[in-house]
Amino acid sequence: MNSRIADYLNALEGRLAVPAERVALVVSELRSHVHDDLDDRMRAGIDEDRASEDAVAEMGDAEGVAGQFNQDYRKELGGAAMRRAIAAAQIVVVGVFAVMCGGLNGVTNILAAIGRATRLGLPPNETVLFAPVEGQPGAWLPNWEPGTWFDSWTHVVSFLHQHPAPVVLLELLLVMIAGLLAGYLVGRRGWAFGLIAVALPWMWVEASESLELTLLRIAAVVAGAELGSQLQQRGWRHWSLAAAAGVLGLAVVIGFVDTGLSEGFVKASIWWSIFIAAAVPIGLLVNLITQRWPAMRTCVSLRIERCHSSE
Amino acid sequence: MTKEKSELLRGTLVSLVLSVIERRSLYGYEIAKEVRVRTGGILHLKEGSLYPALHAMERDGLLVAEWQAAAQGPSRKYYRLTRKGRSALRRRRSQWSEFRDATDAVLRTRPAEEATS
Repeated sequence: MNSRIADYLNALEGRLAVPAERVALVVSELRSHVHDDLDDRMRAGIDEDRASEDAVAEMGDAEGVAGQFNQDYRKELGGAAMRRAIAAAQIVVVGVFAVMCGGLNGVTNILAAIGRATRLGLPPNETVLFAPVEGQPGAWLPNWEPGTWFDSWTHVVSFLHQHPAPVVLLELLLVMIAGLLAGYLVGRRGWAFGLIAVALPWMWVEASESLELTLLRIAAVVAGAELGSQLQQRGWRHWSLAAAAGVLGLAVVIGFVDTGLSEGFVKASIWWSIFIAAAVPIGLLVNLITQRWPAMRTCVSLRIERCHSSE
Repeated sequence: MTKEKSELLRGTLVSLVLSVIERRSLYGYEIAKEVRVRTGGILHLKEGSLYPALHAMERDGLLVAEWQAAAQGPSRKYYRLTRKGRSALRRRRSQWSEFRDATDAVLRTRPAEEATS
């Protein structure tokens, strides 16, 4: 290697503020670049001394070039930190939602069962935090005093318990799984159209019974789909399938513990199997169309004014 | 290169790279050379911009890279498009056409033409 070029690469190496293994790769890559540049110049009849001077000049000063790599690395670190923060926030939101929708009931039942099994020094069927609901065997309501921090949950839990709770909760869990699978399989754009196109009209028709229930269903679909989409983007294939299987398993277990294999559970399972089967192909189709014809994506993205302007 | 040209180049760098490696794998120096040849020497990718961009595109999954031993001289890192890179290229081509037409529509209209139209 020509000494001028070697000096340049050494100077560059000394100014790179990136991890050591990346320094080695960057320098190797630039070495091959400048080597080829030098070869080309010499083949064009320029003597080596002049050619190496030109090749080095062509690269730009070492500080500037190193600065670009350093800036890029800092950006990458910042981007990764931001992505991690967003992913963590999303997981927290989805997690909280899942706990609110389903987990709380499961946890309630588990704690109640522990309470029943151990009695905790209390009479049978009575625990400190949870009390049985009259006329609904196996259902337990929070037994805490108003004004405590538990109180904010009371409305949600009470609402859920006013309905045939296991069925509602199982349905919400299944909705989340449907969303998760569809989000994972077709990505965000797919679920936005596939899921909503199928889910919302059906939910609306079905929802005459309760607006709150409809909102819960919609939120469950969106939360599940967003989670699935995030998992897909991160390539967490096994995690997402495991999560779906885990949630489904939990739903089945809660269903058995709470009600046995009730008619409602079977109905909900069938509905959501049909729903997944219908939503995913639509999502895939939308995804395919928008990838194949980018102009259509613009329209599908609801940026109507751009569609009009390009017509 | 002028500042204006550098700014324009910065916005199109990814598209140019994706386009020149569409048909075959190339390494950094070849990419820069190919862009220079195809643009008649008008566009010149500086190493300080090209390599960070290549690495970022590799991280984003648009390209995959592979080191290959050269018959002569140091090893070279060849870049090729992934499926994601191909669809990004299709998208960028369409966006570029739209952008170019829109910009042309504005830049080619002179005040005199506006007055007569």
